[in-house]
Amino acid sequence: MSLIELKNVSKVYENGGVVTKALTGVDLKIEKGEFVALMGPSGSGKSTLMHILGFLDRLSSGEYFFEDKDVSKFDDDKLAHFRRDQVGFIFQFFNLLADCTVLENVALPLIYAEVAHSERIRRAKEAIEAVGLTPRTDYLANRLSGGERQRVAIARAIVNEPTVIFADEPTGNLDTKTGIMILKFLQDLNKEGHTVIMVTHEQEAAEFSGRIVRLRDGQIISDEKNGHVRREDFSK
Amino acid sequence: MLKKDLVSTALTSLRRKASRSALTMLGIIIGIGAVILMLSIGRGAEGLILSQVAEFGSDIVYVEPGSGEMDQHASSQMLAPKTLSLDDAEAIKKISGFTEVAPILFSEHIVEWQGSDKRAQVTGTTPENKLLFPAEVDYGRFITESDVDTNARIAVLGTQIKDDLFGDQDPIGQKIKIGSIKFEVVGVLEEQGTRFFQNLDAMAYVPVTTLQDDVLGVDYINFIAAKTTLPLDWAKEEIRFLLRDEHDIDNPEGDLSKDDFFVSTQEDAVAIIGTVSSVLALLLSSIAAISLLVGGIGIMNIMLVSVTERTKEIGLRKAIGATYGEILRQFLLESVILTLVGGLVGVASGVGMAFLTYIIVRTQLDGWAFSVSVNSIVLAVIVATVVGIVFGIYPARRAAKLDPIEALRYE
Repeated sequence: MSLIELKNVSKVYENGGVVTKALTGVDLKIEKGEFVALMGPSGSGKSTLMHILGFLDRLSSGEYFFEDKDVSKFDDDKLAHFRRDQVGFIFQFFNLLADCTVLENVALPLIYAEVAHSERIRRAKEAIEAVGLTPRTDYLANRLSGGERQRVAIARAIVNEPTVIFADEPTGNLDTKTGIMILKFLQDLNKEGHTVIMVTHEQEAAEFSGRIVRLRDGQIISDEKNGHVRREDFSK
Repeated sequence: MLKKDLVSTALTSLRRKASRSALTMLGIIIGIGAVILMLSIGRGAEGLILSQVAEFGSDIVYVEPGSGEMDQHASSQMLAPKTLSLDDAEAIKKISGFTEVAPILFSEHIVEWQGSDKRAQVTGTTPENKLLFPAEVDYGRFITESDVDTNARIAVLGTQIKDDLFGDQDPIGQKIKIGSIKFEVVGVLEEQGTRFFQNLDAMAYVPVTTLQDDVLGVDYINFIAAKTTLPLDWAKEEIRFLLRDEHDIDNPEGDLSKDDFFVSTQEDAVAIIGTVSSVLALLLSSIAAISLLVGGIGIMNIMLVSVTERTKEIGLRKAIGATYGEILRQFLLESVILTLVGGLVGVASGVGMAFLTYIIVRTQLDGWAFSVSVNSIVLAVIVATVVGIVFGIYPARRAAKLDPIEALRYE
């Protein structure tokens, strides 16, 4: 059983009579524990693919099995529950609640998972510690640097112990050095057993992953194992 | 989402925009507060008037000139119909079941004593005066039967007009001038206070015959009060039959508009006051409904702005697993909290204003009670909540229906 299996998936947008084919006949299997980079120029369909995989969007035709469950048959609430329980998102623009504290931001997904307050605090603090931001726990999110914000977003993505972590251009809004640190975090999470799926258009970022899937015009044009996974040692 | 978290999430969002939330609530606060205040004032006034009506005996029938359909306010000297006479009062007295009958004639004159003068209501009356004005004689005496029979030129004064004219001097035996006629003061009444916004202590009383013949030169009276041992409806019918006969009115079908007199009781007055206050309540309710409508639209407006401003936040919440229902409930709860808190503050300020009104009115008028009905408070709170739901549902649905991908991209 693959964690994720897409069979002949297409996505068509219709906007004012104009039909856009975002994905055409995509077949993809992702196993548990992989670190996959979805690459391609803008308009290639990589974001659409991530949205479908992350239960944010529906496919137009084809099949999507997540742990052998037929996702295309899910209603909106079931999709929301899968987003809540199975996945964590990291966005290019962090999407933190600016006037909430780090702790509140990280604990937010657990509110929807109906985790009791004290347990929420405990798990959020654990996740904050995992990204090394314990001293910033009570800071408001808008007082943090870009790198710190993305680490808060990572803590938020892992707090519900998801099966898959989705990262949408996680380094796109960061300087190179900070970006590398974030990618290192993703590698560490992957090593701990999380499946990580990252959308990026930067070759450099993709090099941190174990497998690179390239898209163009809504189709997969290559799907290769990355033989030279880039490692960075911050202790240097 | 746990209920507790739902509430704290909504509260946090509102607190973040505290001044905006407060301003939004103001519409509801004013609407609810005004209704509570006005209903309280209405009840206070109604209670005051009813307590004064209750001072009139429940076994007394009142006869006024003119038909019931005529303008009841036309009771000033010039406009009042002149269809009642002393003979009518005498005739009523002869019906069995009527024990006392008080004919009354009102007029206004300058009352003068040794250079000081005062414009005052002069009431022509008989010993049965107490059917209408229950004051006791403080000292001296009241008008007697023989005073009425002999057109005696004597007067009994209320305390205030006595003070105005005589100060600390003893008025008994003094001659005062009413119009061009001299009257001897024979008594002073105890203090009575105000009734129906009329100062009873500023009145002078003279025999009704003297006022008719010597001062005004008229033969009508303004009012008859008759005390009866009969059931009131029966007593009213007796008087109607008698007066139709006396006035030669052919009215076998009992059409009240054909009569030139009008018979009523305390019960009728209470019923009229009841009608007036329910019309008043209806009026207040419509004003309240309009102000709450305006307040509710204000809430909807602000919530729509809030949904737009927080599009990204909504997108994020949906991305991390919030369902349609959870977003809907969060925004709906925000508007309900706005209206509910607004309603409660409105109730509190309305009650406060009503109490303040009571304190102020009490210094001027006796018998005004501070009264806020529990029903109106409960209703106000329920209405406020309903307004929150009704006007909150549209913005909340808009928030809940947002597509998470679009919402996250929103700038």
